[in-house]
Amino acid sequence: MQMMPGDPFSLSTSIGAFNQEQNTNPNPKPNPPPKKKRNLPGTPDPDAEVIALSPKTLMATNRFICEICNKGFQRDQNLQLHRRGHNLPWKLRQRSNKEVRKKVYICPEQTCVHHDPSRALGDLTGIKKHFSRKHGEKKWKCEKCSKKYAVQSDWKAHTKTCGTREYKCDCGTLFSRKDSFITHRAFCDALAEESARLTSVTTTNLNFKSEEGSNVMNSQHGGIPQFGPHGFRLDFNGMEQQQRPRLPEIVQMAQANALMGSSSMVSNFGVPVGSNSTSAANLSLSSLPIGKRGETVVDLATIYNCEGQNKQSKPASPMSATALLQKAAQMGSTRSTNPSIFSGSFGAVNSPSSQTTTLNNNNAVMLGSNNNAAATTAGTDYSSLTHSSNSFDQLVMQTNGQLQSEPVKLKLHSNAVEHNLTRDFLGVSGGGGGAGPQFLPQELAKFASMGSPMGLSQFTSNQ
Amino acid sequence: MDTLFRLVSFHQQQQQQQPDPSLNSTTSRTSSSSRSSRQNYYHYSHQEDEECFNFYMDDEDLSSSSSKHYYQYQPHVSTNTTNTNTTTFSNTTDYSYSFSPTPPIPDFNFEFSPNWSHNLLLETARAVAENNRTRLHHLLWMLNELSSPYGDTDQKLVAYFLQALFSRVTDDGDRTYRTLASASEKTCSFESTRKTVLKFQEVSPWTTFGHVASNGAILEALEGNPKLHILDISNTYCTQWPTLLEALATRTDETPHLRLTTVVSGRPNNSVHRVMKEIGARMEKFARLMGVPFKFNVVHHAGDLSDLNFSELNIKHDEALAVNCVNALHSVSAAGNNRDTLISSLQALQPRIITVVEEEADLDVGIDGYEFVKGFEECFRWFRVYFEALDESFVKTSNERLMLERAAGRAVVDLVACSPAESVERRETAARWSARLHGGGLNAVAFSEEVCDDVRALLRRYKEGWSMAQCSDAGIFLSWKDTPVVWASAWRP
Repeated sequence: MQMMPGDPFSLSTSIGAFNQEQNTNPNPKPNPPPKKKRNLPGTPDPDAEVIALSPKTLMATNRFICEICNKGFQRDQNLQLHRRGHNLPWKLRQRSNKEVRKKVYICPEQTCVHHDPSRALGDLTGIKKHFSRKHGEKKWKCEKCSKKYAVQSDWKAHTKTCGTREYKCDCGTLFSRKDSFITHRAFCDALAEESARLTSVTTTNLNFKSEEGSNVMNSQHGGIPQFGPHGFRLDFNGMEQQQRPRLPEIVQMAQANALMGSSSMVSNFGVPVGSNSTSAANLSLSSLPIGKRGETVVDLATIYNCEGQNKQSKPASPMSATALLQKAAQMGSTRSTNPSIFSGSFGAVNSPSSQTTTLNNNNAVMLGSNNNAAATTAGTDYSSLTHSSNSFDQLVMQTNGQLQSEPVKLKLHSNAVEHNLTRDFLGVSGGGGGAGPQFLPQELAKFASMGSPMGLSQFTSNQ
Repeated sequence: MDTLFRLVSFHQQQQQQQPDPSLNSTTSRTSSSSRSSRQNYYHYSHQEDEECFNFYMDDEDLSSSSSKHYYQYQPHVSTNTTNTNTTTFSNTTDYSYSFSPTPPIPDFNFEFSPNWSHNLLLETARAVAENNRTRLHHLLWMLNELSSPYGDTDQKLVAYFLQALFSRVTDDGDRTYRTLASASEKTCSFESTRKTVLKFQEVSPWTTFGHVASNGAILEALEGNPKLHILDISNTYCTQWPTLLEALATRTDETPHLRLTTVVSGRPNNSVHRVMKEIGARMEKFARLMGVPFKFNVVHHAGDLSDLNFSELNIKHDEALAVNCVNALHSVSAAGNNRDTLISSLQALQPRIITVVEEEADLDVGIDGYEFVKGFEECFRWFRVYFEALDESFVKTSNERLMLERAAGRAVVDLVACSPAESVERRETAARWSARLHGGGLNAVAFSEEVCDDVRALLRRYKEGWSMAQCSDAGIFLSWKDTPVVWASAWRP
C-alpha cells in the first residue's frame, strides 16, 4: 500500500490487485467526454482507485485549517483564498492536466456492504452521506412527524413535503394523516371488494395468457411469452436475494392450491404438481421455462432471472414473486373495458376492445383446453376465488405489499398503459380506476428509498 | 314520564311499604301518554340539538322525558336542605334553554352555577348513603327534570347518573345493565362498531395514544425476531394493528411473520362473535396487502380474564411473544386477588414485553356509606372529564359520540348499581397498577425517545388540549387539559 503524496488522510489501493498498480487501462479516454459517465451505485470501475477514509475523516467538515486563526474550511481552495487575508503565501491548486485516476470510496464500517472495494461508491459526498445515513447518528428531526434523519439535506427535503401529502383510499375518502389512512384502509370495504375482484380477474388473465399471451405479448416482447412487461422479470432478479421468507409461503400456497385442486390457477403459475402438468403445458407461461424445469415457483424465479438479465440493466429493489405478479397485473390492467373480468389483466394492452374479444375467445379456449377437471373447477373456482381467501388471492395480494415501494418503477415501465388502467391495490393514487394525481407513488418511492426508522416515526404528520 | 310515575310510586312505596306493580313493570316503558310526552320532549330537544332527532333511542331515554305537562305536580318538598341550590320547585321549565311560554322564575339560579350537576348528584349520593328516602326522592325528581342525554355535558351526566342511581335504589342494577347491554347489542354490527371506533380515533387521541405507545414498545422489544406472536387483550377491536403491520412491512430488513391472538372476554354475545370474525377477515386481507405473513386467531372467553387458560392459547417458544393489554386489566374483578392472579399468569408466559394501557381513575366504588359517596364522586369526576373530552372532540351532531356516551352510561350503571364483585369497569390509578405489576414480578420498561416523539407527534395531529406527561411510577400519561386520563406503560419479567 502506498501513501499518496499530498493526501495525508487516505490510504489507497486499487481494486484489481492489492499489491500492484494496474498499468493497463482497459477503458482509455483520449478525449474527456462531455458528460461524466455514471456507474451504477455500488458498481465501480474496476480500475478506479479505491480510497478508504476513516470515519473521523469522513465526517470531518472542516479539514483544512488556517494556521493563523484556526478557522476551518471544507476545501483547500477556500483556505488558500483565506490565507490571502493574512498576507500569507497562497497557491490555488490547478486541476491536474494528466489523466486523473477515478477515485472510489469504501465505507469504513466493516459490516457494511460498501466496505468491500468491489462495491465502493464513486463519490466522496456520496460515501459521506451513506455513512451518515446508515451508520451515523440521526441528528435532524422533522418537527411535524418526528421522523429522524442523519443527513441534513435529507431532512430538508422531507420537511418540504411532510404534511403536504394526502392519502386517498379506494373508497374515495381523503386523509391528511397517514395513520388514520392506514387504519381506515385496513377496515375499508373497498379493500374487501378489491381483493375479490382481483382474484377473479387475475386468474382469468393467467388463463388467457397462455394462448393470448403470445398474441399480445408478441407485439411487445418479440414473442416470448412472459408474465408481463420488463418490470416483472426485472424484479425476479431481486427476488433471489431478498424476501426469502415470502418464497416458501408462495411455494406452499401454490402447492396447497394444487392439492386443493384449483388447477387452473396452479397451472398458470407453472407449478404443476403432478397431475396438472398436462394442462400446464398448454399455457405458454408454463410451457417454456416451467416446462423445462417445471417445478416450483422458486425455479420459475431462477428462469426468469436468466431471461431477465439480458433485457434490463436497471436493477430493481428486491421484490417477491408475488410483487412481480401484482405489478404485472397492474401494468396490464384494462379496467376501462370490462371491470368484472379484465381489470388487472397481464401485459400491457394496446387496444382494449380487441383484447376484450380475444380475451373472451381465449377464455373459452383456455377453459376448454384445460383438462376437464380444471375446466369445471375453473368455472366454479371463480366464485370461490372471489369470495374466499384462497392462495391465489393471497399470492396476488401479497404483491400489493410491494407496491408501495415500486410504483415509480411501475410508472416508468408501463409505457403502453394509461393511467386509469393502472391497478392501484393500495389505493395510493387516484381513486379506483380514475386517473388520479400520481403524486403519491413518487412520494412512496422516495419514502421507501429512505431507510425506515425505528418504530412508527415514519408516519408523517400531515396537518 | 315513566320515571316520573316510577318516582311517584317509589315514593308511595316508601310511605306505604307496599310493592307497587308499576314499580316492577319497568319494562313497560311505552304507554300512550308517554308517547305524547315524548313528542313534546322531541320538540323541545330538537330545537336544542340537531342530533337528538334520532328515533333510534333506547327506551331508557324516554325516562328523562318530562315536559311542562307535569309541572303541576308538586313534590313533597323537604325543607331540611343543606344545599342552597335546591330551591322550591316551580312549575316552569327547567331546561337551560327555555322554550316554555311561561317565563322562568328569576331566582332559579342554581342551574347556571357551573357545578350544579356535581353538587346535585353528590347530594343524591349522600342521600343514598344515608338512606334518607324523602330527600332522596326529592333529589331524584329534580335530577329527572334536569336530565337530558341530548343536552349539554351536565345534562347528559345527570341523565346517565340518574339512571344508575335510580336502578341502585330500586335494587335493579343488574337487570338495568343487562337491558341496556342487550339493547345496544341489537344494533351492534361490524359496520356500526367500525364507524364508531374509527371516528373516535379520528377526532380524539384517547385510544390512539395507547396504540402508538404500545406499538412502538412492541416493535422495539421484538426487533430482529423472524417470528412474532402478539397476545392481544383489548377493547379496541384490533384497530391498533394495521399501523403495526404497516411498520413491520416497511422496515427494510426481512419482514417477520406475525401471529396475532386476540382475546375477547366478557359476556358471551353473538354480535361480538360476528364482529370479530369480520375483523379477522379484514386484518388478514390487510396483512396480505402489506405483504406481512400473518395469522389471526380470536379466543372468546366467557367470564373473568383471571381464569383464562393460557396454555390453550398455543404459545410457541420459537416465537417472540408480546402481550398487549388495552383496558383489559380493569375488566377483571377487583374482588379477591383476581387481578394479581392475571398479572402473575401473564408474567409466567415470559413475554418479551407486556404493554398496559389503562384509564386513569380510581373507580372502586364502595358498597355503601362513606365509601360509596367517595367512589361516586370520583366516578362523576372521571365521567365528566370523559364527556367533556368527547364533547370537544366530536361535532355536535355526532351519532358516534352518542354511542360512546351510552356505553359510558352503561359503565356508570355497572359502577353505581351493580355488585362490585362482578363489575368490569373498576379502573385503578397508574400508581396502583404499577404496584400490582411490580408485585407480579414485572419491571417497568421506559418508552424510548423515539416512541415518545411519535406520541407527541400524534398529539400534534389532534385538536388543542391534549398533552403527554411522564408518569412518576412508570410509563406516560395522556392528559386532557392537564388532567391525566389514559396511562400507557410497558413491562417485562
